[in-house]
Amino acid sequence: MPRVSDRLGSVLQATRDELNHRFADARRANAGLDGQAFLSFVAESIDPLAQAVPAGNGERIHSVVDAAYDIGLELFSKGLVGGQARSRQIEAAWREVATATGGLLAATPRRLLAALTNAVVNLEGEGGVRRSGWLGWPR
Amino acid sequence: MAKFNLFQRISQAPTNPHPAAPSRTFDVADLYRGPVEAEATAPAEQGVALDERLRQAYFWIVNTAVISPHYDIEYLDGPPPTFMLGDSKSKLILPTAQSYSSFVLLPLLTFATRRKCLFIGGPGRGKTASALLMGLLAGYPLREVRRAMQHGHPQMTIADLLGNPLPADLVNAQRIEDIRISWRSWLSMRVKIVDEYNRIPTRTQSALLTVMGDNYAEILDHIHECPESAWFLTANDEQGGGTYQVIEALRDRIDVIVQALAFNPRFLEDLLTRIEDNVRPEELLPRQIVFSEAEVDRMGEEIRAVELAPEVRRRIEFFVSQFEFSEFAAEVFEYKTKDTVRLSGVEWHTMSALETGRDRLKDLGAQTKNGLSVRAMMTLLVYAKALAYFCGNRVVELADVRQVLPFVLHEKLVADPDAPFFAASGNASLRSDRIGWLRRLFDLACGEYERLNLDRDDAVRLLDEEFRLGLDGLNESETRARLVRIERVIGELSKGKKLYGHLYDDLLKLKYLHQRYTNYLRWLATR
Repeated sequence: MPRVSDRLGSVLQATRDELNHRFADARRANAGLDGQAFLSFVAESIDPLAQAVPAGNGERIHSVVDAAYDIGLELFSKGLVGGQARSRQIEAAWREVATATGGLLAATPRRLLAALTNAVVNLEGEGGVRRSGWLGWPR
Repeated sequence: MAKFNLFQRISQAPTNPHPAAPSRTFDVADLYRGPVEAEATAPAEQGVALDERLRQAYFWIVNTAVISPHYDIEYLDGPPPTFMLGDSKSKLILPTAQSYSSFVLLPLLTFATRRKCLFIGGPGRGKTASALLMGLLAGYPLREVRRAMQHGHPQMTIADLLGNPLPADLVNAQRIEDIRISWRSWLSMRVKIVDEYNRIPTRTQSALLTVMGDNYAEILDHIHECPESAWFLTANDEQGGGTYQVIEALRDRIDVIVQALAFNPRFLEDLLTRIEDNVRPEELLPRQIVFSEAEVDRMGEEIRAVELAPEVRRRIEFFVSQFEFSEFAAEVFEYKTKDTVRLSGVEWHTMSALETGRDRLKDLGAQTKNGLSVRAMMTLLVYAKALAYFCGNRVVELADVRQVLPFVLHEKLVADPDAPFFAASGNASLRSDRIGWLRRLFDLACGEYERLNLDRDDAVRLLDEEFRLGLDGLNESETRARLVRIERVIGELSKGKKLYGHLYDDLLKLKYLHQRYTNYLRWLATR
């Protein structure tokens, strides 16, 4: 099992029961959910977000992790992220685009991650779109 | 010195060897927790699994502390030698696998899960002594456990139970919030013992209910939050035969009831040894079987992670389904329950006399006056997991449910002594033997489940599994097809059959599924 940064670790520790409870809820609706695979997703895709929150916005890390966990769990339940996903573009967008927005991510994490995720899903539905170009935009 | 060691000796691990099963628990702590604990959580016995230490505690108690040679929780791994004795052909079974004494095991499981256990039985049978041992297992000094034990008596006031406002503040305070309260120290303990709780006056019982049910105490608008704790109560008679009638809500909070069985005089020599050696086992509890607060927390997590397979769960569902249904209680299908009868105030026998259509000997529901509450079902699941965990398993087996069920439902499922079942040949003793009756009831339900071949032929389960896959992406024609299938199954279930409790619950489930698909269909149409 991959380990996570101290930043994410401290948030997970503080909200452990709540996060475990949310996963248990999701598993009730979808008995096939693989806990270990979801934990890998948290380590690979949510940890970079926690680390991307600017040092001056440290108090926002909780909100970022909370939003990312919530949205991530929904996407994971639908097979859109994680090892079973058809493509890993959403995770790539979170890692590469969301992390680059720094202050925006800290200020409105739910809105940003939702918009970015919907954009990737819609782009994937369009033919002839150079997705890597879009995902590289903020740099 | 040798005697000291004799009483402090614990059974060597493994006390019940099993192959370890992988856990499927989900825990975000796996992402930050390492082999080194940040807090000092596992002091003396690092390396010995907690379930192993729980078994060691059990064996120390039965071998040294409580002389309780009753193996009434019987496990079998093959056909047992069985003897029929006396005119009544009483059955004596010699268990072929490790079996246990409920009087020690159930309190231990209560300790591990931080639930509530009531000891019942005549005076001088070790009820209070066993409760005291549970306090010692939590690491409290003997003197502290003794002082913290609440002794019920007819003059017990709320102040005796919870604490007092400081007298100086009562005189000088201008506002109620300025009055400081001196809370009783037992409220902050992780093991709480209330001796002879049925001698507590009704008003004080209500204050006790708040502490037991909601984990807080209240005096003069001041609140004291109590920690999650294991509760041990004693009563000479759980029927409320003490000085005061025990309020129903308080009785309902109790999770398991164990009876202190009679002392077998064949063990008198052990008592003699204690007297001659001046040994008090409670003063010699080995430190290896003392559990820290964090360890009990972890034990609780491990117990919750024990799996309960769908096959076992289905048998529990089937068993529970037998009892709530009452065909003539209401016209509206959903209200055909015994609870409807109870709430209406209609006499029970008036309603049960109407139940003439079914075979009342075969209908398990006819044996009880009530159904099971959600709390009772949850308690059953927790204790079944705890028992499996105690046995060293990570999966609940049907035998675990069968063994633990009577102690959980002892007070929860009320027998109808006028039911034809109790008048049948050989069943008269089941009127007074609740453990035997509840176990028989579960066996009968399992027998019926197998007769109906529900493990292989359960249309409702298939429809439910299909629904649980989710509605995402389901198109209109498939939704309509599923609605038709549900209606067809309802039609088949209603063909020439009497309505029994399990069928009633199946039909309600099918109605639920039908409604969910109907709503989904309406939503599809608006898109």
